[in-house]
This record gives sequence, structure tokens and C-alpha cells, in this order.
Amino acid sequence: MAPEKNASRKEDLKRLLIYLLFAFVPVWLWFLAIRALTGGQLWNDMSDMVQSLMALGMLGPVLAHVATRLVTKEGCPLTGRDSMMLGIDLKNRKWIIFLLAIFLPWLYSEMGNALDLLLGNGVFDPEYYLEYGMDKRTVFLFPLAAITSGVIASFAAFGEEGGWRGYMMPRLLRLMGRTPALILGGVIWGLWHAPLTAIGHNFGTDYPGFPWLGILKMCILCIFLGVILTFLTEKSGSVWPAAILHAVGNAGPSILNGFVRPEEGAEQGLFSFLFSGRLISILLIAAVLLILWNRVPDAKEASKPVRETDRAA
Amino acid sequence: MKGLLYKDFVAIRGKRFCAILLVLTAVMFLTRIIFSDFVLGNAGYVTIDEERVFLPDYIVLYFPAFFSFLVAGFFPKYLMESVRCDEQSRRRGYLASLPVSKREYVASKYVLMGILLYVLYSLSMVWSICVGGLAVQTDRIRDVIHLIEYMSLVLFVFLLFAAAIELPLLLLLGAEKVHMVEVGFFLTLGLLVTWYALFGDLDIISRLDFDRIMDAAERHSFELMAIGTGSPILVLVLYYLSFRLTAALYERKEDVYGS
Repeated sequence: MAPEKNASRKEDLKRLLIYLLFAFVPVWLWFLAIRALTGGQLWNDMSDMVQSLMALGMLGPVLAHVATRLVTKEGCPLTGRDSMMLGIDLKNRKWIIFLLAIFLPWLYSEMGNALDLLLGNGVFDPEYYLEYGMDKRTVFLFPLAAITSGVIASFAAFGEEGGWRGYMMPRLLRLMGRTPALILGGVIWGLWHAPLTAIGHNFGTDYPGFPWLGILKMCILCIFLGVILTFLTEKSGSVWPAAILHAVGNAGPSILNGFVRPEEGAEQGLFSFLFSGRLISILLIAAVLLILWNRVPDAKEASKPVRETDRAA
Repeated sequence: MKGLLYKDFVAIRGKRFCAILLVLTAVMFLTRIIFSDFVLGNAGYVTIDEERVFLPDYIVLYFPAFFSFLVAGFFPKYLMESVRCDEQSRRRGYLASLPVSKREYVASKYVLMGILLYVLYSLSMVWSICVGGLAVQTDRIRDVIHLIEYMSLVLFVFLLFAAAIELPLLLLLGAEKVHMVEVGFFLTLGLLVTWYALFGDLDIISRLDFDRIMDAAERHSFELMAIGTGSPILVLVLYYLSFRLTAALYERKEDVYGS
């Protein structure tokens, strides 16, 4: 390997490790501190305001991104090569990427619920929404409400994507090939969620092998979701499509959410827990995007590192 | 576009505004932590109608709303300032020598105001979460916080709507004329409010009952959700149409670079 390439790989690895330190340590301390303040409550026992307070830790990765750039003196360019990828460019059909970011979560959420019904992971209950004190008309507003809140209140998801897709993934992709980078990136992201998964944030607490199987499932989910998010980021040259997709997905855009009662608790087998409809639907979409990856042109400039020779020129 | 945005960021004294936001956030955090159940303990509790209530929560709870309205008050000023600075410094004449189209110049104003509102709305949400999350968790506190969050959305959607109306006027008529119209409008509004305060029925205000408001909100939850969902989309579409119209008219306007 050429000395220059070797040196830049070492530089990327060093910066990545600094970033991971900033992303993990303060955020895990935040999660643990909030949990301690609540007297060790599990996620479902916390009020929604305390849940939101704990979820503020999701801003950690983007703050870690900024802190890493300051410490490593990379600077904080907003757009361009080796930047924070905060720009928005809709030219050359990149607007399609933004549309995908808005509608893909709806697609995989509905698909996920439909698959849960087929696999027996859920039961169709035409009055399930009543348990949440909802009007039936409200259920049909779910997709639109999720898209609106996802776009307007995307700052929380931006907190994650600004770090994971904005800093970590470009460096992982430079350090190793696409497939290992996507797998490792997903595992890191999934492990970062471990303190929340362990108190029932992602899958509740009543499943076989709690919390370890939950953490494993989270890593698998993050690998597949990471494929979609990294695809959107690379093809648009911006973290905003990933932030929007993440936010819309978190907001639960599926109409079937109001009619599919999930199978939970001791009746839920290991297979049905690990291979939920949502996981399978995200896997299918990730697989399609992997096939299309090389056929869709990407915004190459943003992910290329700026070298000293470029600065001199 | 980057250069145009930075120019306007400097024109509206963006760094000072960011510093103000940071100070407000720090004040919010410190006040919340100092006047919290964890720090004050029993000293903060009072008994009202045989119910033990943590009094500081009911004061600190309104800080996000107060701060949101405070920073929202800066917004029209920044809107005007970004255009006025270009007029006074005759910067547009200099822009004519650069590869910047009139359309891009108009777009930069719309983009800057959009970014400003997005950041302010996100910050108001973070404030509400911090204040609510560290409060003693009761149903009433939760209802107040949810109401404040909903009103923040309404406020910032309104500001976006106002920007969609005001930006075309500023860019096409100039800052001075729009300023005169605004002064006239707010003077009239102030006179109307004063007249009502002196001669109107103020009992309406005393009849406002928080519990009745929350009951009404629960009865009309679908309508509120529909408004909360539909109005941002509608206003965003209006904002975009405002940009298209303004850009089209501005491109036809003569002597923009001399003013």
C-alpha cells in the first residue's frame, strides 16, 4: 500500500476512534443518569416526558461529530469534500432520494405489519386503536402525521444521522469495503442503543432472552436500516434524507398500527421475536438498494477526504 | 448560495443571536436543575386544595413558552434586517458583478428564514423536553407541556406564514415602505387591544379554565391532529409558492442592483 494511503487510513482510524469515544461515553452517561434520577424505572414505566428527556441523548452523535472535528482540527465545512454534509442539493434527480426518504418508512412499516399478520406475529383487531383512546379517523392520519412530524421535528433524528452517517460511515467506507463497513457500522449503532434496549425502549422487556437477544436484534436491525440510510446519504451527498427517513420511521407511519395487535410476552417464540415483520420488510428494501447501489450515481464529492496536496493546490 | 447565506447571517448579527440562544438555554437548564424536586426536596412543596404540589414547576414550566415567544419576536426584525442591510450597503450592485442570479438572491432569503425557523422550533422543543422531563410527573404538568409544545408549533407555523407574506413585500417594495406599513399595523393592533382593555369585557379572561381547555382538546383530538398535521404542509406549500412568485417578479424588476 502506498505510504500516503497508509497514512490517511491511520488518520481515518484515529479520528474514528475519537468520534466513537465522544459518541459513546457522554451519551451512555446521560442514559444512566436519567435512569438513576427515575429510580431505575424501565422504559414503559417512565412518563412520556421523561422518555423524551432520555431520548435527548440521541443528539449525542452529532455533537460528538462536531467535537471530533474540533479536536482533530478537520474543521467544520458544511458542504463539499469531507464535510458535515449539511447541504441540500435537489439537482440531477437527487429530489428522488428525498422523496424516497419520506415514503420508504411508510412502505416498510405497512409491509412490516402485513408480514406480522402473515407470520402470525400479530392479530388483526378492528378495534385495537380504541385501547389508546383514539378516534378511528386519527388512525388514517398516521402516515401524514408521521411525515409532517418527521420533516418538521427531524432534529432528534438529525442528532443521530449527523453523527453516524455524517461522520462514522464515510470513514468506515474508506477504511474497509462497503459490505464490512455496513455490517460494522450497524453493529456499532446497535450497541450504542444497548442501555435503552436493556430497559425496554426498542422491544419492550417481555421477550425471550431479554435483554441480550434484544441487543442482538437491535444490531441486526441497525445493519439493515444502516444500508438504507447510507444509500440515501451517499446518493444525495447530504445527511438530511437519512434524518428524515429516520424521523418518519420513528413516528410510526403505518395505518395498520391501529389495527394489528402484536403478539407479545411469553407466547412470543424466539423466531417470531427475531424475525418480526418490520425487520423482514427493512431487510427486503435494503436488499433491493444493495442491488441498485452501483446503478444509481452518488454524490461522490462529499465523501472524499481532503488531502494536504488538495489544500496546497 | 453558501456565500449569500453567510452574508445574511452576518447581516443579522447571527453570532450574537446564537450567543443569546446559548445563554437562554443555559439559564433554562440551570433554573430547571436548581428549582427541581431533586435539589429543593420538600422545601418546594405546598398544599393546595389538599393536594401536595411542587410550586417551582408551575413557574419554570412556562419558561420554554416565554423564551419561544421572545426569540420569535426577533424573527420579523431579522427578516427586515437581512433586506435592509443589502439596501443600505448597496450590496446588490456588487452582487451584479458576481455569478449570482436574481433568483438565487431571492432563494437565499427564503432559505435563511426557513433555516432560522427550523432551528428556533427545534430549540423550543428541546427546552420543553428539558423542563418537562425534570418536573414532578403529574397529569397536569404533562398537559401543560403538551399544550406549550402544540402552541410552539402553531407559533412557528404562523411565523413561516408571515414570512411568506412579508418577504415578497420586502424584496419588491423595499424595507422602508414595509416598515411603515408594519408600524401602522401594530399601532392599530395596540390601539385595539388598549380600547378592549379599557372598555371591553375582561370577564372572558377570568372565565378561561385550563381544565375546560384540556377537556375540549380531548373531545376534538382528531380536529387538532388534523390541524397540527395539515397546517405545516399547507404553509410550506404557500412558502414555496411565495418564493416562486417573488423570484418571477424580482427577475422582471428593474434597477434592483442600484437600490
